[in-house]
Amino acid sequence: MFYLLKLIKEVELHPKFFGPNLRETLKNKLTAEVEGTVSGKYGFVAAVPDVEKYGQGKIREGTGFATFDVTYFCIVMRPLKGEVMDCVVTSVNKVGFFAEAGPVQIFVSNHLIPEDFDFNAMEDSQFVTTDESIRIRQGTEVRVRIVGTRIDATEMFCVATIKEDFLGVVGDPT
Amino acid sequence: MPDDATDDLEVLLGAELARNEEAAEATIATISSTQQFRPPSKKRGRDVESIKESDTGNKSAGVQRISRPASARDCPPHPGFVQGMCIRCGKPRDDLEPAASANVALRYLHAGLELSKTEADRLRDESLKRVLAGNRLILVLDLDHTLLTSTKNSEIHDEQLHRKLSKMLAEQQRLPELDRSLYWFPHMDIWTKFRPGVRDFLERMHLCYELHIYTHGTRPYALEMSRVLDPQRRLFAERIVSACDSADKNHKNLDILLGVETAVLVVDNTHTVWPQHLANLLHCTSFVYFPADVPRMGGTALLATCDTSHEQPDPMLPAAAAVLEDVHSMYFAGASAAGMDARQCLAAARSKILAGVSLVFSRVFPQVMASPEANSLWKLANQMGAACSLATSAATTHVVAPCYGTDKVMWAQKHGKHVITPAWLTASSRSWQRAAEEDYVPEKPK
Repeated sequence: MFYLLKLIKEVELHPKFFGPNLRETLKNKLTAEVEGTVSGKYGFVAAVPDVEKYGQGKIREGTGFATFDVTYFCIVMRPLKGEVMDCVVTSVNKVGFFAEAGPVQIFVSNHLIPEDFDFNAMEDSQFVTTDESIRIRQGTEVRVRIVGTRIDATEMFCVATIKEDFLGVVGDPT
Repeated sequence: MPDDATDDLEVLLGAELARNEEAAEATIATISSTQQFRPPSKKRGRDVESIKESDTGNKSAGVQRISRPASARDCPPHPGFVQGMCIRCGKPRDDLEPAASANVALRYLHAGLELSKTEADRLRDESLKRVLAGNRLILVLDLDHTLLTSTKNSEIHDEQLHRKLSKMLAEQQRLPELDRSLYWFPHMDIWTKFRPGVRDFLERMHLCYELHIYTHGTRPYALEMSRVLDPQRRLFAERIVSACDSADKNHKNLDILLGVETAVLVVDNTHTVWPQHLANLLHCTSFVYFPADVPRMGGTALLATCDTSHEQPDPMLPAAAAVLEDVHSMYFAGASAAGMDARQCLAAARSKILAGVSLVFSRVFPQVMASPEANSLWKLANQMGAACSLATSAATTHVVAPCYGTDKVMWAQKHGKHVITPAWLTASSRSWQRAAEEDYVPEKPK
């Protein structure tokens, strides 16, 4: 789920940037440092749309660097247990299938896939229903419900299910 | 923004959700018949019995019938963990009792994926049923010196060889993809040469076997090789095991492939890495192409002797393909494949190599030994279907001797029988074909 947060970060700047474009440089540096990272507490920072205010710069003793406390808005994405989301299948194997929804990696084990689906590895690994009407293979879009999440500094990983009403395949890779 | 004490959506949205669910259930029953995709069932799980009844209708499709416990929310026992979370209920592993030590780590499927022993056994049986239903067995292939060989660019010291390789590469790059056998990977600084006949071998094997790669190379290397061997991901898909996925760096084990020993065969040029599965192994000759490998593997570097445009044929892969197809037809020959053991079929195929040969050993081991049958060469010859005896007779066809001059050798020369060195036996065993007797004649005395 996406949230809009207001956070404060300390950004350090080299004296060569002290000039008319100081604020712009600060914003760019903040954006570069923060966008795309995953924080254990908030999730994946998807974008920094705006900065609310720039703090007073303080010069560090010993070096010429100045630090600014920047208050900024950011859009974060964080999967929650119980949430329903759409994802794209990345690989299928006999234990289940792996999918991703942006920065979130999802695993759906075969325990949480309805019994109609059987694993077929003849030409291309996939899960197929008995009447062959629905297939889950690499590139298929699937709607899942998150059953457990694990968020750390490097990635966000979830275990999900499609064994409930209204979950399952929503698009084919063609 | 939820605080980090909970990441449960239901808690966040309050009990509201729980109350609404009851009301929704009533409406869902009426809506479900008009759903676009198959009506998701509210019943949690069918009985295992009913699944088995409908099993017989699907035998030819090679499809794995997933038999699961009646309720999916039946945790514990937790069937497995991925990144520290149970794959069925999502509970973090640290909250639970310390896990049983018999967990199978399937790192090649995904880092952090582990299955409990019961789950691994269940999946092993499922895989076996699926593969047999598709009339196939399982074949595990080694990469280096079996299907192809690679060398680092920095190890080609001879400038002339380097020029020759570059010239061959330029010619190869003009060929259609399926005819290429020489590759240069700049990002890994590696030259790779396919063994002659490898694509043909893989296509033939794909029809009767589910193929797996099991290599001691690194994972990026394994993935790159599979990308050139199998660009459409048809042959190997995700069934690639590399060095980091193997528990023991010096040995290979069938456990992590979730394969049942009676239906798996292995093709590898080294037998020391398969101490527990020698009966499943089709031990083949090593493919040595680059000179840097010669000190370690022996033989001659084919690169030095080959012609730039003309590829020397290598009989190993077609011979191996013939043996594997033979084993496959033996396995599925009976009315039902239940109870068949691929290892026995392989032994039967091995006994055809020297069928009709009757040998006598001369000056190979002391003839007054208590039990000559215990000698390793005797046993090897027997495994290949040759009859061994201590004395020459009219039925004898070959005399195995390291040199000329013995009684038995002179008898053989007089009667026009073959005289070969013991290396003929090992060569026949490795190449899975009767070796040419002319190549293994002992040295003439000076």
